[in-house]
Amino acid sequence: MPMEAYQYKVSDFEGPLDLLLYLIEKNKVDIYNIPIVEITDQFNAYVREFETFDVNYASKFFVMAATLLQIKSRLLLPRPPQLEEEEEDPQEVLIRQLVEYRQMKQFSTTMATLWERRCQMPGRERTPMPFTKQFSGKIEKSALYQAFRLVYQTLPETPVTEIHLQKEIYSVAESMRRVEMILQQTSRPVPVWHIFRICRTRTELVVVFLSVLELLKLGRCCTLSDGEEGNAVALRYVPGGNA
Amino acid sequence: MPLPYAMSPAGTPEPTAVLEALLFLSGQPLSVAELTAHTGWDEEKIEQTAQTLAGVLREEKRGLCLLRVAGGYQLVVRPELYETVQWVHTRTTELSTTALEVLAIIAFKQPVTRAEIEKIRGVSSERLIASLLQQGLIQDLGRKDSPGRPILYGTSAYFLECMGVDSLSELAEKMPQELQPQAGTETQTATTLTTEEQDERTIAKSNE
Repeated sequence: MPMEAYQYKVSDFEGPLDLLLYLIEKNKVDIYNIPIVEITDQFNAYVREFETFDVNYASKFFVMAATLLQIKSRLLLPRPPQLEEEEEDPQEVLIRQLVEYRQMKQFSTTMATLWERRCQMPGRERTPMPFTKQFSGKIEKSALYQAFRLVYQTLPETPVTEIHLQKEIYSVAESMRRVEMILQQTSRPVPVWHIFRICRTRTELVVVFLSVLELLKLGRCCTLSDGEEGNAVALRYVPGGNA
Repeated sequence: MPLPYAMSPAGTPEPTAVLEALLFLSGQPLSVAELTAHTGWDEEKIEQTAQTLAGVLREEKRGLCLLRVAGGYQLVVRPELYETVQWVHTRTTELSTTALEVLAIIAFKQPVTRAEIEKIRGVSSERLIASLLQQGLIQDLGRKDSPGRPILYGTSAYFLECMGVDSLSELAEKMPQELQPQAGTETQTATTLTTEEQDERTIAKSNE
């Protein structure tokens, strides 16, 4: 065959169906009435020129070549016996496959046009929504906490020499009694840091803090503002209380 | 007799202006549901306002036009201006013909398995399917109730956006007439992407 018959290598085609469609187009034949003998010969001529040996890719072509030969032989041989129920005429199967594949190829061409058209109508990226600041709640006077913190920072940390569980040295109940006693000694309000000052360690400080809160909760003492600017806290004993 | 005062509260903006502003901010297609959330209008009013806006943009020969895509609306550059505007420094990424073939099969045969796709094309399609999944053009629709329980694929809302169509049936209509897809095509109207998906896509695109 002349060289210009091989203007496309087999590897230019995506698969055997692609090659078959090309041959059908080239020979200008009706897809429903393929001259099997001619097309099979041309198909095999192409496949014979295979240079790349990608097994997966090549095998599909060999399967198709075999199918075409099967169809061709059925035509050339005397009328074969009736097909069994499940078996379909391989030629019909092939034609159906070719028609469907061709339809999909044409759809994909139209889709390519739509895609391109869409690219000519670009939109903007979304403008992100900024967060608006919202102010909620009230600022609470945390003077009590500030006093606590001041003292807490100046006290040394309890050195940990060994880890063993100890019985609770400071109890909240005891601290509460201690604090009450201090408050009862004077009828004047006691600045809160006078109370925290009695503590020697951080653990003790935490317990005393808790006992102050507990006393406040029970109503056995109350808070007052104190100090020059009135932003320090003082405590005063309340006889009776809510307990 | 005309009333001496206006019936609508003073300064109520024109609906077309409101829609225009929202679509400008959104950039990407804004679904009817989202428009309702922002404006309180029902679907009918939204459609009417959209028609009016589209008409205004057309008659005044403005640079933008209104697109109805993937169940939502978008303000886009008028395609006739694209050449003049020259808003590219590199060629936009295109899909290869093979990728488009696989995409066409999935679009018109969905839901469809990988084996079914390969049967139509006659060749292996695994890498192409993975690529299309990664680009967000197709999605996993669950598994087929058959041996091996293979994954079923279908197209996504983003695919409709890329095609510039509102629904799969609109896409089918645009196909060459003598080859109309068979009745088996599911005519689903995909919804537009939610804003999280849109933001994710924006981040993904800007990472490219």
